[in-house]
Amino acid sequence: MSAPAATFRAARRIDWLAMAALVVVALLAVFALMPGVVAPYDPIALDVVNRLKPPSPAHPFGTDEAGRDIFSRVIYGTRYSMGVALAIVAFAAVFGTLYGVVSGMAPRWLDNLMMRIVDMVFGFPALVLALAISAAIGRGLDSVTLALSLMWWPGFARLVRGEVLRLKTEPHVETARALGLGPVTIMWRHIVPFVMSAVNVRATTDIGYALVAVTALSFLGLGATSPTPEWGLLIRDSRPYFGSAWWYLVFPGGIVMLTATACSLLGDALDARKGA
Amino acid sequence: MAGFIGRRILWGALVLLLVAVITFFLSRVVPADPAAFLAGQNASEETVARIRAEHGLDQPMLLQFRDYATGLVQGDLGESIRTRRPVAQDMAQFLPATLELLLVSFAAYLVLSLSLAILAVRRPGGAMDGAVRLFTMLGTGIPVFWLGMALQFVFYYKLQWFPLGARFPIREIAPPEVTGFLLVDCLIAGNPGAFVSALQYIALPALTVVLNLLAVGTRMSRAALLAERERLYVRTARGKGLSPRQVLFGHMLRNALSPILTVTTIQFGYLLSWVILVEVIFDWPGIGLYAFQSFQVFDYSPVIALALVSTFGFVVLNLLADLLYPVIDPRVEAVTS
Repeated sequence: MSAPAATFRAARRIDWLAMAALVVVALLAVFALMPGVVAPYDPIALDVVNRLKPPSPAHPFGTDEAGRDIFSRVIYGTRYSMGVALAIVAFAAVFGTLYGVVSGMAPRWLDNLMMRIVDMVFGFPALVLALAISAAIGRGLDSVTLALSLMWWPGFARLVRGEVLRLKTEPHVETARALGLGPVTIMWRHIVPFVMSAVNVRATTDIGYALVAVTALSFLGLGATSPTPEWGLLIRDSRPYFGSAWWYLVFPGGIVMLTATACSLLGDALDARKGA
Repeated sequence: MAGFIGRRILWGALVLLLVAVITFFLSRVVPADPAAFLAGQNASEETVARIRAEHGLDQPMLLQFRDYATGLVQGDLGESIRTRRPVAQDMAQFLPATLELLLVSFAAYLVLSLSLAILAVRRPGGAMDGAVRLFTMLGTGIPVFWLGMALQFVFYYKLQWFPLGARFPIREIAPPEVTGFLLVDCLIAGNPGAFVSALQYIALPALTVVLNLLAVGTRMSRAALLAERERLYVRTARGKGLSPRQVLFGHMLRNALSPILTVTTIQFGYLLSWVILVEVIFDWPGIGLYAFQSFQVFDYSPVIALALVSTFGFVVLNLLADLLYPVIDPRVEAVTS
């Protein structure tokens, strides 16, 4: 096979996967915005007669220990799990980008200081911070959002600072400086627009990782509380029954995995487009 | 070079101090009252007050921290309300289990991720490369706790290949504790049967850690090796008539070691922070499980201690990595000295 043909085939294959990922994300958006339209049952209503029933046409993902429809709970859970993941990444991307731009533009001593702070946050064990915060302000999705937001921004700060240092020597920025434009104008008009594509790639991929982190904290009992149909909490609740009710573990975990993989694929596709 | 190391050590100490301050204040601004918890539900006001005074919980915040910091320097991590023992003693008891899990799984991860990356890069775009890429793609999205439970379901519940829930069978006599590393202790005691038992217990938690790290690690190692493939020295080496194997192992791998070391450091740091999850799922009696169980009953000294120990591990890890860079790539020396 000739090299161009191989490249073409590779490009086409990646597109296919990206399309599939896009479909998954679109479906999730529908689930999050209009769960009532898709979900056949109330996610919280009890139906004790039908507890722990395996998947059937009536309950495609089976039922849990209170007879609740797991399919409906997964659909309604999208809003909580994805909402928190999105909030974390949105905060991290905005704050991290600002921090990185300022650090990259700042005089050397300030840049050094700001980057040492980033190193420090990186060195802090995320899970322990989450434990401490939920001890201080109580368990719930709020403390999970707070803890993970505080831990997440340094990645963006480092990425953006690197881009800024590279951009500072680009001809268009040097021209702007030679024309006498102020640092703030240069920053907003000539640097920030050029770092956004890298930030977008990173943010897309990170939504998946943030989702996994959020569900992990809920799984430990730090996040959502019963009967909120949050995905991590569903997996936590399934633990006592995992020998007898495989569907209770498999479907909520599967949706987390599917979502995270879709985000990572979309990030890759964005990255490939950026390079082209 | 010495100045560089000195600065790094100083910086590490500063990081530890800040982590101590942050965790301390976070844990003391809690709404729940540790003294009331310790005294029990039916305790009188006086008992609670007495216990509060005993543990110094009635003092002003700054004074509490001063006492705490003085103790820290002397190796005193406070007392656990739950186990009623010094936290340092508890940590020393549970640390070997965590280290054993970390080291065994991380060694396996390193070997596997490098082998997979090398296999994939031998022919980019080939069948092996495709398989590795598919694996890394699916693997990055698996939540570690879910993976752990799935492995338990298959290998413990269904196949009954591996045991669960401790480091060693309760009915058997564990070897005398020498190092605290059970695998090593079994060998010292010259007891191959016990060694196999211990190996069976560590297999599932270690497998969970390995699979969790493997996807991201292989992906990044593969990228590092692929980047080297485009370099001119590779073309030169091929032109000289070296076999693909010689080019790969003698040249590309050697040059890709720096980025691979970076990936390895990041992965180990990630593992330090999240190993607690694996310990909780597998009831692995390490410091993560210890801190988590204490946390659940509002006993915060072990949580602070865990934060300090894992940050310390992280600082040491990064220092080691910084020292290793010049060894694997002499060109780095010019930058650090």
